[in-house]
Parts: sequence; structure tokens; C-alpha cells
Amino acid sequence: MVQTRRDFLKRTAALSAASYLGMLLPFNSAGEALAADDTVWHRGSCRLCGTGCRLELGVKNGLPTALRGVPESRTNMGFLCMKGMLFWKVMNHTDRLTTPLYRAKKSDKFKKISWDEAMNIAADKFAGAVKEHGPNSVAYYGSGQALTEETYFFQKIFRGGLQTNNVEGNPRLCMASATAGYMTSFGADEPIGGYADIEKADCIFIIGSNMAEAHPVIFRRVMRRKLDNPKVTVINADPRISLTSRIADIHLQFNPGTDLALLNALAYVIIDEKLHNEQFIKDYVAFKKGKEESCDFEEYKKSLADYTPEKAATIMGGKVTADQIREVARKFATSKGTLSMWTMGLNQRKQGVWANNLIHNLHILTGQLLKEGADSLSLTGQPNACGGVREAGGLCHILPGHRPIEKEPLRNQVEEAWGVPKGRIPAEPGLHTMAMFTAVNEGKIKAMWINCTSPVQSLPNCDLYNKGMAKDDTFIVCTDIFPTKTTELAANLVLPTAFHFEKTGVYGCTERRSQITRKAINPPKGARPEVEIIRDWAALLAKKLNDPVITQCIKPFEGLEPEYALPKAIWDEYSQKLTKGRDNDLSGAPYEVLEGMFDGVQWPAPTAEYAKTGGTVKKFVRGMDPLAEKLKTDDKPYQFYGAAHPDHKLWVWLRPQANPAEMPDADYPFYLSTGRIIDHWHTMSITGRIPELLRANPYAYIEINPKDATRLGIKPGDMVEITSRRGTNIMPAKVYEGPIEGMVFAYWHDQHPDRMINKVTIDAIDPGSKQPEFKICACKIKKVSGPQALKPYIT
Amino acid sequence: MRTSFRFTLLLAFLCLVWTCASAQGSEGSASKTGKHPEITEQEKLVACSECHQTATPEVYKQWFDSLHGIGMVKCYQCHGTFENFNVEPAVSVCATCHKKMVEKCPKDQKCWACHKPHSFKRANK
Amino acid sequence: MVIAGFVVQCQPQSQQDTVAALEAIGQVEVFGADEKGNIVTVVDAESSADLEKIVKRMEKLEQVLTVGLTYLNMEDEAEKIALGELSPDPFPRKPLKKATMTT
Repeated sequence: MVQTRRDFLKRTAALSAASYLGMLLPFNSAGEALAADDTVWHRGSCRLCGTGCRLELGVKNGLPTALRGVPESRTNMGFLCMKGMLFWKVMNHTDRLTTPLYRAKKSDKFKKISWDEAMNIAADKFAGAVKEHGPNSVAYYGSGQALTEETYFFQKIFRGGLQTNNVEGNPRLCMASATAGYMTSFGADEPIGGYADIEKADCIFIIGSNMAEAHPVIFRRVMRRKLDNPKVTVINADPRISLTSRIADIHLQFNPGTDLALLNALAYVIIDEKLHNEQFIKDYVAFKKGKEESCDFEEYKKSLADYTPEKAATIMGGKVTADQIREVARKFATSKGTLSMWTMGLNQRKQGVWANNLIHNLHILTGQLLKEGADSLSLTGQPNACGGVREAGGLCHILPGHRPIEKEPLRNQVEEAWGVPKGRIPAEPGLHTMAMFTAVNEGKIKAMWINCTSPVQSLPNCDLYNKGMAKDDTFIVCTDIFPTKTTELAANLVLPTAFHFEKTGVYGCTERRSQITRKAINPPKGARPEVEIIRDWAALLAKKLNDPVITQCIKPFEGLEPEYALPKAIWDEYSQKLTKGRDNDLSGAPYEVLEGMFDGVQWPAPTAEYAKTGGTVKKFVRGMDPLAEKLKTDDKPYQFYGAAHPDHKLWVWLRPQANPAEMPDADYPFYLSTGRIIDHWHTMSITGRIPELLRANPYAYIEINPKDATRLGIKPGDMVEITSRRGTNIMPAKVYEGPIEGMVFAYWHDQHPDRMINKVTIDAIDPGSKQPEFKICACKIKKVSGPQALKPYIT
Repeated sequence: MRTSFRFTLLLAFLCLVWTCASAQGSEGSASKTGKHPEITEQEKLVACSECHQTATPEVYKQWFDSLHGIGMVKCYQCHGTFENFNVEPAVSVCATCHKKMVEKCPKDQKCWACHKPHSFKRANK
Repeated sequence: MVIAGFVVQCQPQSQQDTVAALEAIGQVEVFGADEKGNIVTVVDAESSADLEKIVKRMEKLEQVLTVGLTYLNMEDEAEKIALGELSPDPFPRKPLKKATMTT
């Protein structure tokens, strides 16, 4: 039924008259906004950050027409940001890939081929590489935006089928340090609490996160908490004053890379003023230094002597005072509940794991953990970095269910679940992201599958790695919905895939919560869901390699229709066989349970009955976490059962201040940092195709402190050249009191070769987490011209 | 009642005629004429708020200091962009985030009957 | 196109007759009525002059006590009168200037 404007006006006129009388009219209309029509609303998650907002896609006559939030959801309470509101508009975009594209050489033009041809080529190339160069000559590079079913299925085929652990994904670029931080400090990956702590917290400590732009809906909750309760203290620690600072009581602005000194100084004050929780430390805490050497509280205390507030303020430079550090430490320690939140500012660092350890230290020392409003909460950047990649085996060193690859009994569990011979999964971890692309440069990777991500734009120092990806030594398959810089430069074969809401699957967000999105509309003709592609490809691999074990890997999924039955079978295998008994136990959360919920389930959730309540709000707390009761070793209320800490304790780490890999010097006198802008998502292949979002931020600019700009004669809008030891960008200047003096900042979404900031960033990595230091490098800047009219650029 | 109807009709008529007529007036700042100045495709790449900060400073300030301003709900989220621009957004746009409020609200009333546009303070507060 | 919503009041006992009489006018649609004699009515008129004629006819009906306007939409007509044409685009365009790239 199509409602004409005339009908609509008549209905409005009638409603108006009826409202005078308090009369209900016989048509079922919830007002103009929700005027009755035949729109069907399909519940699912947003895919444009790690918050896990729940929303409903309105579908009419098979087409997406509207979108709204789910007010009952515990993640977003119905609120959405602009990306969440508008992303559905790309679903029918004319640029959607709808047919497989192939070119034998990367210098050739793509030609359209059939799916049969495409799958044959993909299978030939991977089978050929394995036969000729061994299993480790192939690699998978996935995404924190792939569904759990997709990541899980890809890694199953690569590990169980092709026998390589070269399974990685872009979460290495964003979450690896947080993972390593949780493992080393708490003994288990992922946060203890979640978003529910925001509304209970009295002190909110934000460091290395511009959540107002990167996680707008979480920021909304923090804003609400602060505005409704002015006594709540919000502290924002960042070298750049950002939109997040608007609600902060205290903004600590310091030189990039000196935050380890800040965090140690906070610990110094806490101990010096006896604000630590002695009983908590006695009951639950061990102290560690170096790789894993035990020490005691006194030694830890002594190590902090270098971080008196005065000394730290000197190290940090900027405007931070010793008294400010004391004030922050007191608030942190003494509030009823202190909640820390951070993201890439701490993670994308050479000292990323240490920075994570140091923030956990503060929570452990003060006991600001495990109780209402207190948590050490790392925000994830992508919708399924936690659920798909960290939990389902999407990195080179972990198997599904948080199983470290080097543990043979754990490998055997996985082999058994898959019905493949013992020893099938190699014991050696595969190549981590930067090593994998280095291997591409060296011609060691012969065939690579890149799924749902664009490393040509998103790797640090990307020019270096793009040389390798552009070469014909490595055959590259890309699965994606739009052309990207990666399909353009690196791909031999492009396979068009179904977008979100065009397929079924689960995303797991920041707070250990898994949420389902069911297929609501058909993908464009010619595009297929990844799970179908993987299954068909694996079937061909089995033939070409004459390997029945590969057939075994897809046996449970044969013949299932790919829209629902196939992903459901994959989720069942993963959740029932591989999370059962693990800390991320999701065996109580099959599709039937997830579909019944407005939001989803926080693991551990070992039974369906428990999962239906929403699962575990706080890990490790007896009475709140079923595993804490089951795995308890004593009568204490908290049980740290994480497998990485055999002593069942939280570990406080001695970690000194250490500089970033590259410090400004005479040749490159500025710090460069990068970040995410609110209107765009990653490499802009989706958001750049939505006019509202594109126009809001059509290209990148470089933020410069007014003092630096004056000194260099740079005016707003001037074209500025940014050069590091690795590459150069030219973009317009934005002069404002954002970055600290001596620092410049650029958003990283722009695809234009002149403004792709990852040509300039550094590829130094954290030795523990292998995550690159996107956030800090040295550069020089100079004005090259006055303002110029620029055009947005989308591949 | 009979006379009051004719009067209402006339009043409504005059209001509409006046609004539309003034929109025909000379080109210039939006606040004076109610009509947007001519802009090029290039100028469409400037965020609304950037010009409106100076063109309509009161509106900008109301928005900037509001929950929408702090929470980064931008102009285009409610008003759309050039091709789908609405001076008065559809209530369905509000319902994207405020579904429950819209359901609770009397059906003949727009959100801004109670929540002042741009500042979104309740009128009776 | 002019569309208006009204509450038409009549004696409660004559409600059914009134509804029938209103609907007989054509261009008038009744959406509901209550036991007190209030009738929710929508008029779809060609023009404001037409609307006024219809309202007069409604008022003249024997059973009708009052005709109260609650909603009026006459956007098309007002625009025509004011502009002599339809111009819904609030962003008039200058001729397209070609943007330049920096390289």
C-alpha cells in the first residue's frame, strides 16, 4: 500500500481533530512518525564501530527504507550516531560489486567472469601454492567487521584444511595490545565489566580515546551520566584536546608518548598517600616485572620513585601540573566507582601492552574493579574484533575459544571438534600482520585472501607494503562489497559479497556481548555471502589437493542454504563445541536464544536459561559469573580463573616510561598522530558513498596548534606538506587549539593518494602484541600554497 | 465558532503567503530572507555548521550547547543534505533515536511543540 | 489541494444522521464520532474558496451546532499564489564550477 501525500495529510488532519476529543481513530497509526504502512522491521546490530548498537532496518517491498534504534537494548538504549542512522543507504549503491572480477596480472584491466570460473581460479591458486611452496605460502587477512561465522570458517579452512596458521586480521592493528594487556594483567582476555558501569561510575577516566567521535553512543552515555550527576568527575587524558574534552572536568594534555609516566605517577600518589586497597592487594594481587619475574609490593613501590608527580609533570611537558596529577590520583582512588576507558591512544603504540598494564595497575591497586561502576574497559574499534577475531581464532597465535596455539592439548580439542586427525593444526603460530605483509614484500606469500578490509590504505607506512601487494608474486583474492584501494592495487580476483543485513551472523562487541543480525533483504544479484564462498572454495580445494581432511572440514555444512541454515550450523559448531567449557562460553546462546533478545548475551553463558537473562555482567565475581562459582579455588568473593595466570591472581606490572619508536628531532620536529572522524568509517568505502557523511568531512586535513601555525606562517585552509622518513601527504590545514604545541594530527579516512596519512605513519610494532605504533611518529610540515579547492576522492 | 473559522483560515492563509513571498525576496543572508544563498557543488562540501556558526549564530549556539551539540548529533542527521533537505524534519527522523518518546507523544503534536528546536530544552522548564 | 481537519459538533441523539449528511456532501470524510456528538471530519477541497463553500454547507446542516477547524494544509495553493510557480528546492544552485585537484 502506497500512502500518497494526500492520504497522509488527510490522516494527519483526522488525527488532529481526534486528539481534541481524546478519541482513538480506527486506523492503527502511532502518529505521523510511525504511520502504519507495510514496513517490516528487522533487528540487528550496527557495523560501524565496536559499541554494538542495536537497531532495526525497515524493509518495504524488499528494499531498505528506514532505520531506527532499539530502545530496549542494553548497549545503545535506542540511540544511534550518524553512521548508524545512514549506513543502510549504501545497500543499493550503484558501485556495489555484483560480479566476480579477474585479472591475471595486476597491471591488467579487470574482466568480469562467472562465479564458477572465479571459484576455480581461487582454488587453483591456493592449491597450487600449497603444493609447490608448502602451506605457509598461503595466508588469510581478515577483519573485525567479518561475522563470527565468517572468521571462524575461514580460519577452520586455513588451519584444518590448508594446515597453516597464517590467519590474521585488521584487529591486529587495533586490539592486539588490549588483548595482551588483559592477558598479562588479569589472566584472561576481555574486560571484567561493561557499559553498565558507566551509569554507576563516579569517576570516569578517559585516556587515549576520542570517544565523542570514535564511539559516539558510548560517549552519549558518559555525557548523560555527567550532565545528570554534575558531581561525577570526568577526566580526559590526551595530547590533543578533542570533542570528548567538552564534558571533562580535567583535561590532562601532555606530549605524545609520555602517558606511561602519567600512569606511573598516579600509582605513585595512590601509594604515597595510602589510597591503595591493602586488603584487596593482600587477597588477590601478585607483582611482576620483566617477562614474568615475581617481585613484591616494596619493590614495586621503589620502582615508582622515578615518578613523583613533579618528575612526571616534567617528563610529560605540556600543561600538566604535579597538583593536577595528585588530584586525578585521589579522585581515581577514592571515588565510589572509577571506570577507565581507552582505545587506540594506548593500543596503537610501541609500548601498547605496557600502557594497558599500567592502567590495569591503577584499578588493581585501588580495588576499583569488580564492583558497580568500577572497571578497566578497553573500547573496541570494530563491531566484531572481540567476538569474531579475538574469540573465534582470527589471529595467528590463537585458536577458537581463546586457545593459545602453542598448547597441544588445546589444539587437540579443536582437532577433535572438527573431526580432523591429531596434529593437523600446526603448532607454530603463523605470521602476525606486519610480518605477513613483510613476507608478501619478500615474495614468500604466494596466495593471499583479503576479506572485508583494505590494507593498502590501513597499514602503517603503507607505501612500503603496497609495493609488495602490487607485485604479481602474490596472487590476491579480495572479498568485498565495493571497490577499495586494495581491490584497485592488489587484487587479482575480486569476489562480490553480501553486506550486513543481506546475510545472517553474529557480532561480539566491546563488552563480551554477542548479538545476532538476521538476513533482512537479498543481496544485489551476483553478490554472495562469504560463508557460501568459503564452503564452495574449500570443496574445490579438497578436490584439487585430493585431501579428504578438507572435505571433513566442510562436511557439517554441506547442502545447507547459505542465508540462514549454513551460518547457523557454523555458529552451532563454534558455540557448542569450541566455546563450551572455555571462559568465553557461549554454549547457552544458540541462534534461537540470540534471536529472542533485543540485544544479546554476555559470556560466559553456559546455559540457555542464564543466557536469556543477558549473561554475565561482571566476570570473576561469585554470584554474578557462573564460572567464578564453578572454578573457585577458595571462599573469597572474587575468583580469577583466567588460564594465563596459574596463581589465580591479578598481576601488577613494573613498567617504566619508554619513548615511542620515533621521537621528533631537528629534521622531523613534530609529533604526528592520527585518528577516526565521526562521520566516516575506516577507509571510507561505505561512508564515502553516503552524501550526508561524505559532505560532512569530504577530505582529510591536518590539525595544527595555532602557535606552531603562526611560527610557520600557516593559515587555516593553506595546503600543508607533511613529511616523515617514510612518505609525504599534502592536505589543508586546520588551525586550532586541539593538538598540543609541537604535535599535528590527521584523520585517516581519506583515500586520495595525496592525503592518505598511512603513507606517513610508522610501522614500528609493540614487541609483545605486534601492534603498530600508528599513533606516534615524527614528521615535518611546511606550507606549500594557499587554500585550494579539493575534490573528495573515492576509488 | 463560525466567525472564528473564517478568521483562522484567513490568518493561516496570510501566514503562508507571507512566508512564501518573503522567500522570493532579494538574495542575501538566510536569516533575513528565509532563503539559502546560492552555493556551488564545491561549497556543498563545507559542513553546514561551519557557515551557520556565523550566518545564524543563535541557532548554532543553541545547538552547540544542547545535548545534540555535545553528543555530536549534527545538522544533517535531522535536516538531511542538499538533495533531501527539510527545514522541519519528519518526526520519523526523531524516532530513529527517540522511538519511545515519539510513541508517548500526542499524535497531533510535533516534537518541537515541547522541545525547543536546536536547544531541545523543554518549553515549560 | 487544501486539506483540513474539523471537529463537528451535533446533538448526540442526531449523530448518525449528521454523519450521513456530512458524507453526502462529497469531499467530506468522517473518521470517527463519540457519544457526546463530536465528529472527526476531514475535508479535501480544490481550493480555499472551495473549502469555504464546503464549510458553509456543513454549517448549514440542521443538526450541526459548530464546525471547529483543527488542521489546515494549503501549501500548494499558498505557494502558487506567492510564487506563481512551484520551487521546493531551498538551495538554489550556482552553475557548477569544476573543483581542482591538488596534484
